Formats: sequence, structure tokens, C-alpha cells
Amino acid sequence: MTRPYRLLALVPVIAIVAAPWLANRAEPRLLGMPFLLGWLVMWLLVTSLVMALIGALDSRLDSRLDAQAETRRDAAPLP
Amino acid sequence: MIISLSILALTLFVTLALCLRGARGASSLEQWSVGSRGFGTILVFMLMAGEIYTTFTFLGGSGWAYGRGAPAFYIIAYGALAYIMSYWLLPAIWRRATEWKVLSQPEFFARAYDSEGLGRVVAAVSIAALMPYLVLQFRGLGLIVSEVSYDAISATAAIWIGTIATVVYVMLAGVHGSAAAAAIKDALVLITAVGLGIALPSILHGGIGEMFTRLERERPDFLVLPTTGLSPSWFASTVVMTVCGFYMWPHTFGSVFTAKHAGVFRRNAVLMPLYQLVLLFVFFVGFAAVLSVPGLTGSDVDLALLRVTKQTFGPWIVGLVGAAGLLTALVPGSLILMSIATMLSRLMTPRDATKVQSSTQARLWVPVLAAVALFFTFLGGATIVTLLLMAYSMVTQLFPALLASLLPRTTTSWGVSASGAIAGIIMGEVTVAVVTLGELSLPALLPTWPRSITDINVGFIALLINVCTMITVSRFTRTTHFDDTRTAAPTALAA
Repeated sequence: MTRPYRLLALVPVIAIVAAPWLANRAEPRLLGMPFLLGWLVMWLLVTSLVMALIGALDSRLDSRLDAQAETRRDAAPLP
Repeated sequence: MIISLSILALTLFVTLALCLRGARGASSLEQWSVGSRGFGTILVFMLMAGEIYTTFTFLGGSGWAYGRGAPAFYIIAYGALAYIMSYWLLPAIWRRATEWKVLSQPEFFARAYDSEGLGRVVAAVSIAALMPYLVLQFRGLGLIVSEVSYDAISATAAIWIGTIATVVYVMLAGVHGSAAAAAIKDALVLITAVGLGIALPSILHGGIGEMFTRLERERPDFLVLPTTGLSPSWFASTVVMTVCGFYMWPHTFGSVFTAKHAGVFRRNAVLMPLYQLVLLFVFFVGFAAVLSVPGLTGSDVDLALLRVTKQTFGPWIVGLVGAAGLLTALVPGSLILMSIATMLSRLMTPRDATKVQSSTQARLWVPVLAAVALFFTFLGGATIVTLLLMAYSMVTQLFPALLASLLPRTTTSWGVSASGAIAGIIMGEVTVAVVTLGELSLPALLPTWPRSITDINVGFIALLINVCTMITVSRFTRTTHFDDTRTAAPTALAA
């Protein structure tokens, strides 16, 4: 696993698939909504945040890898 | 009536005009159907949202909240998960599709497994699943126009007008037209859904919190999942099944091809969950209607949004809501039409046909397909929801074979053969067809089994049968053939 931070994406997956068992109640209310609906909306927002984070870390890593590949190519002796 | 209908007509006219402006220069099939693969984040986002927000979400989402309560929340749940998956799935599909220069989903499968037979099976499944979806859009269209005209225009006339408009702009504009129309539709849906979702609960019930307090008092079990039927295990299995099927719709799969580069999908994975929030407001509308326009049952629950709007607001607002509804039917309808037409023309034209020839043929299919859909729309019957659920279960069966084709093949144990893929898809489809068309219900068939098992969505069970068949058949038919592109890029999925 070269990019362990990608496992973060599993957190919303589990929270949402298990929602009917973890959060199937109407009380307490979240922002006026029944608990189950509020729970799902909250994880929808977290999903967006998590994907933004993974996307940012991925592109940082990608550009670093690209730069490395470039220097390696430059350093290689001409045939 | 005059005011609301004028708004509807104006929307239709502006959309058509914009689409025709986008039509110039679309002469090859690649330009017509995938926009020469040159679309950036915003356009791809619009196209994908254009397909996802259909009349089913706008009218059906509020209708489900109205008719069933908490089980409707599954629509929010699967959206979030589908976008997480898209981050890895879509770039992998896009990279291969671009390299192979394929234009449609059946071609993608045929190329991935090097099997024309699999391509034909996928095409048959796609077309069979899309027809009821198209019929649903046309029927929604009829519903909206006749409601908004305060019954001055019959549903039949409305369906004809809408269908002709769709056919004209699909034939002229192709995917550019759809992207332009999708932009207008998104703006209208956002404004009307969020507006209604906030305004209706406060006007009718004094606020969102107060509305739910009243609902909880009058319908105590409405805001949680029931213990049987649409129970927790139904919810979870339906979410998983629909996530697998989410990108298997041929038109959604096709819009992946329009992207300029793979990075587009990474940004979409962040934006799309936020877009899904629109559904929350659609639910609020449905819940507001429960207490204010009670008594709609059966397929009439889909009218909840329009009825509560008509009862609360004047013709200006009704016209705007109707215009949004009109576009939620037209835009996905046009994309569906276009993707069936592209699939058919690629299947039928000889390999040496010129680009312009196959493009012309795809366009000629459009009116033929629309006529077939019209026929089914007027055939009527209350089975449309059954058909849609069956359609979703059907396209989902393509997912295991797709996933297997994308996995890195460093070990042969993963190798799924073309025969394995075909057998799996067919077994999955047969399961769906037998259970749905035979109107079998698992709780009735297996009364002694716990409801937590028999409530599981049939599409999910078919998916399991599909995977088992695929793996078993592959064990016996596996060849040593390896696709060079696959071994050359074993880390493509992880990149």
C-alpha cells in the first residue's frame, strides 16, 4: 500500500452502508432533521471533504513522482 | 394557466436555440456522441449531473419521501458512495476507452475481453434496460405538462410535443446540445428544489424542524426504517446494488468518454456529493406535502411535488417548477436516446464505414427509437416502477465483468474469461427477470427464513449469483491469452 491515506475513503462507506443499524432512529434531531436523515447528510458532506483531501494528497504525490521521473531521465547518459 | 404555460414554452424554446448553436460542426460520430473527448471539469460535471437528476429524482424523490418516508433516504446514501467509487473507477475506464478509441459501452466490453459475443450481450442488456428508462422520462414529461397547464393540455399531447422536441435536438446537436441543456436544467433544478424545500416547510408548517416534529407526532414510524419490508437489510443491499449499477447505465458510461483528461473525474468526486444535497430539499418538499396534500396513493405519489406547489403558489412559480421538471425529463431523455442510437449504429455499420456514414446512421435511429418508446409510453399500465427497478437490477449485472477487466492481472487467479463474463451476466439477468416478472417475493417463498435475509434486494442477490457463476465458468474456460495493454499497465487502477 503505497498510499495509505486512501483508506480514509472507507470511513464514509462503512458509516453509510451500516447507517440503517447504527442510526435508524428519529431522535435526537440533527439540525431539525430526523437522526437517520441528518446522519446521511453529515456523511455526504464528509465524503466530499475526504475526497478533496485524497485528491490533494494524490496530486501532490503525482507531481513529485513526475519531477523525479524527469530528473532521472535528465541524469541518464545519452545512448 | 397562460403564465405557467408561457414559461414552459419559453424554456423549451431557449433550450432548443442554445442546443442548435452547439450543433455546428458536429459531423463525425465521435464529435456527435463524445464531443471529440474534449470536455473539461465543468462540462463533464454538467453532463453527468444531467443524467443523474432525472424525473425520477425530481418527482420520484419527493414522491418516495411522501409515500414511504425514511426508505427514500437511500437515494442520498448511494450517491455519496458512487462518487467515492468514481474517483478510482472512472479514470481507469477513461484511460482504456481513450486508448482503444471506443465510443460505447458494448465496444468497451468487447475490446476488454477481446470478444464480440460479450459486446453483443452487453448491448442487448443496455438497450433492454434503457427502454423502460426512456419510457419513464416521457411519461414524467406528460405528467408535468398536463399538471402545469392545469389540465388544459392532455398528457398525450404533452408527450408528443416533448418527444418531438427531444428528437429534433438530439438529431441536430448531439452531446453538445445535451451539455448546454444540462446547464440550464441544473440551474433551474437548483433554484426550484432548494427554493421549494425551504419555502414550503416554512409556509405550511412554520419551519423544517417544526415540520418534522409534527410528522413525528402524527406518523410516529414514518421517519425511521420499518423492521420488515423496506427494512435495514433492504436499505443496505439496495444501496450496494445501486452503487454498482450507478456508472453501468450506458449513457453515464458514455459521458465518461467526453472528458479531456482523467483529472476531471477527481474534481468531480469532490463536487458531486455536494450536488447530491439538492435531494435533501426534494425530500423536504415530499414531507411538507404529506401533511398538506394527503391522500395521493399508488403511482399518484409522483404528483406530490406539483400538487403541493400548485396549492401553495401562483402560476409564476408553478411555471418555473414545471420548466425545471420539463428539463429533468428532456435532458436525460436525449442522452438515453443518443446512447442507444450510438450503440445500434456501431453494431450495425460495417467496420469500413466512414465516420460521416456511421454518424448519419446513428441519427437516423433516433426517431425510430423515440417511436418505439412512445408506443410503450401509450401502452401504459402501472408497471413502470416495477420496470425501472428491474432495469436498475439489470444494468448492475454488468459491474462484476467490468471490475474484473480493470483489475491488475499480476496473478492468473483473477483472470475472468469472456465466457465467464457472459455466463455471469446471463445468470444475473435471468435471476432478475424470473423474480421481477414472475412477481415472486422472497418472504413469501421462504417464510421460515429471517426477514433480514429475505428483505435483501433481488438485484443484490442476482449480483452474488452473477459473481459466483463468473468465477466458476472462468476456472474452466480460462485461456492463457493476455491482453498486452493490460500487462503493460498493471498499476493503472492505482494511478
